[in-house]
Amino acid sequence: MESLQPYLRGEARLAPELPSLRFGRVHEVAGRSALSFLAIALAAAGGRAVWIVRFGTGEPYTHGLSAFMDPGQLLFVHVHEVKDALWAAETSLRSSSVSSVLVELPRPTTLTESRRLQLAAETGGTLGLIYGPEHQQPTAATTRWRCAPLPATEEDSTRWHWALHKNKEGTSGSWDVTWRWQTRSLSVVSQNGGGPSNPPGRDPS
Amino acid sequence: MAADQAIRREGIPREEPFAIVAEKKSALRLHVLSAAAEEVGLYPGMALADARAAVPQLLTRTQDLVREERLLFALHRWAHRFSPFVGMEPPDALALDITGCAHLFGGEEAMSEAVRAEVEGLGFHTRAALADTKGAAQALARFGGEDSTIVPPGESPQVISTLPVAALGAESRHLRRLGLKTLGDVAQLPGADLTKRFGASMTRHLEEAFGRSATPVAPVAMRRRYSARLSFPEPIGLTSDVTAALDKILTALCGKLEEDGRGITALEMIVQRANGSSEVRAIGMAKPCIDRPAILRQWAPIIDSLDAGFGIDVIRLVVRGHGPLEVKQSALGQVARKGSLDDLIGTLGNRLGFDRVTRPAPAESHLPGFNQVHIPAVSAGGKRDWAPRLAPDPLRLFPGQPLEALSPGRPPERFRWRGRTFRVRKAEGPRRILPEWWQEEAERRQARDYWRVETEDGERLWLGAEPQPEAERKWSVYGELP
Repeated sequence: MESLQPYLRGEARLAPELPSLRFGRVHEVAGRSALSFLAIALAAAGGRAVWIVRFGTGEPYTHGLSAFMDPGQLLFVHVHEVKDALWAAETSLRSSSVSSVLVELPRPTTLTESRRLQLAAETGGTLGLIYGPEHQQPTAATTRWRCAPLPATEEDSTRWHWALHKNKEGTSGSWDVTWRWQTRSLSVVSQNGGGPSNPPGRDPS
Repeated sequence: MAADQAIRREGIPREEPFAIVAEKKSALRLHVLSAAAEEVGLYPGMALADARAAVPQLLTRTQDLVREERLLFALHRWAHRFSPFVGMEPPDALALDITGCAHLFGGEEAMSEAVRAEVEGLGFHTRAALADTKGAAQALARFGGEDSTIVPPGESPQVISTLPVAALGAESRHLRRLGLKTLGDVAQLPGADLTKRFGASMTRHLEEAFGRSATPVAPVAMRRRYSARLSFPEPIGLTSDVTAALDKILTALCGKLEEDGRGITALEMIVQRANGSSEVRAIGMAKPCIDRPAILRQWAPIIDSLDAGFGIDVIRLVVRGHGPLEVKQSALGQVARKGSLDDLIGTLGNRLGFDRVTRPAPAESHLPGFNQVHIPAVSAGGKRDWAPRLAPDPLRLFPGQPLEALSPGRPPERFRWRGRTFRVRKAEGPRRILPEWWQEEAERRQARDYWRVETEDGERLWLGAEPQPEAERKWSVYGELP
């Protein structure tokens, strides 16, 4: 099973101990170290990725990203307005010619917008990633992650705290993870929480 | 030719003296003259002021090189009716290789007459010459003094010998002073001495005229134009009708393109409405493409936004760009995802602009921000070798967001940025990045010291400052570290 392409397996596996990101779903990622999470997620999804960048938010630095993923697989789409970003995300998700789509948004999506993206992701069987601000509003996204930096404890490694607040199709939880630069590998240091995030039938979205 | 062209376009009466003027030797001079102008005694190279004094009613136009070239090209295309080998001899001549063609027009003489008659019919004065070699024919046509010359096979050298030395180019005026009047006189002289004295171009002209050096007719490759139109008996206005019409036109176009192994990269649609107005819309494709459904998908949003007005009479599609078609064979056992990436790039590019859809490529520079470039996703090329980094580099670059240092230090211990106050817990640096030594001083970018900073909240930032004395050092945030 492991040798299969991630999209044939139906999920992008970040680390064995972590819940996988399912294809055909939209996932929200927020927090101060969301970019690292996203880069690792794009690498886990494999294949081509569309990255929708808004002008004026700073340029993704591909030399830095190359530590986590192959920048040759990236296709950047530069947009000015949220409207265009959403359109480009929907079109790319639906096209099924790429395995993942990452869209940067300055505000949380509305329920309608996120549902459209979710439907597009289902149509294309694509992994959708929304990089936006933290929020508590109901959306159609399947998971909601928050990523915060942690002070490094060892040399040559970087630590983050990844919290899965909402998971419609599994358990939530939070983890301390470490990235080792020499081996370029991710490992889970500690695990807290667990259990269903939203009891069935009481899903806010 | 140019004078005839202007006369044709503007309907100037042929009896009126007319000339094309061009600036030469810092004065406006007559460049090309109509037959009527030559009759009243004007000659090429005459200053316009002198000509005006002599012939006050002289009409003139300034030279338009682009238009002349276009005309020659059009005539060149037209001349393919006589021979498949047609070469252009700028500024005003065509060379036809009629080997094996003459009998189709009833012999050489009849053919020469036919060519002349047809060109005259278009409104151009012509001089035609038929000879063994292109050089000889050209010299005869330009300097033979007769409107039509046919040289029997093998007699070219004799006929050429009688031509005036003017056929040898600009240097020929010196020859005249030496008492050499015809090409025959010059041809007797030793070639080496001639070259030494008058330059290689004269010898070359001579050799070409006598057919001693090869001057084949170089046919200009025909740029094929692909366009097709559809007129409707009744004006149409429904989206589905327009789509169906486009599909029909595309079927014809794509068939032609496929035969030539070409694919569409840019396509223009000209829509003519019933009230006489028209509209032009264009799309691009990510790769040369003849896949009709894929092309129609790119048209779909444009058709939706098209204003049909009182109905559309004529739709015309013009291929503005095409490239070689790629033949692909799918590898065995490879599971391809459905849907094509080119299709997606096309859709995104046609709405947002093709320069907005990019892929990154490494560029040769030490400077962050300058060592990556975004190249349009539609173009090939660009390097793809990304050296993996083993130390954390920023994931995102800022164009330098100034921060307010709240305490001294390198980097400052406490600072304020984006409305928040940070206390530095750990700093690693400096890493000085210098511009390349070969950069011109003017466009040289400042050297800068960069620090990786970890704040007490765990925030990891990339700070930088130009190497300046402590007091005037300005710190900025240049990036976001993993």
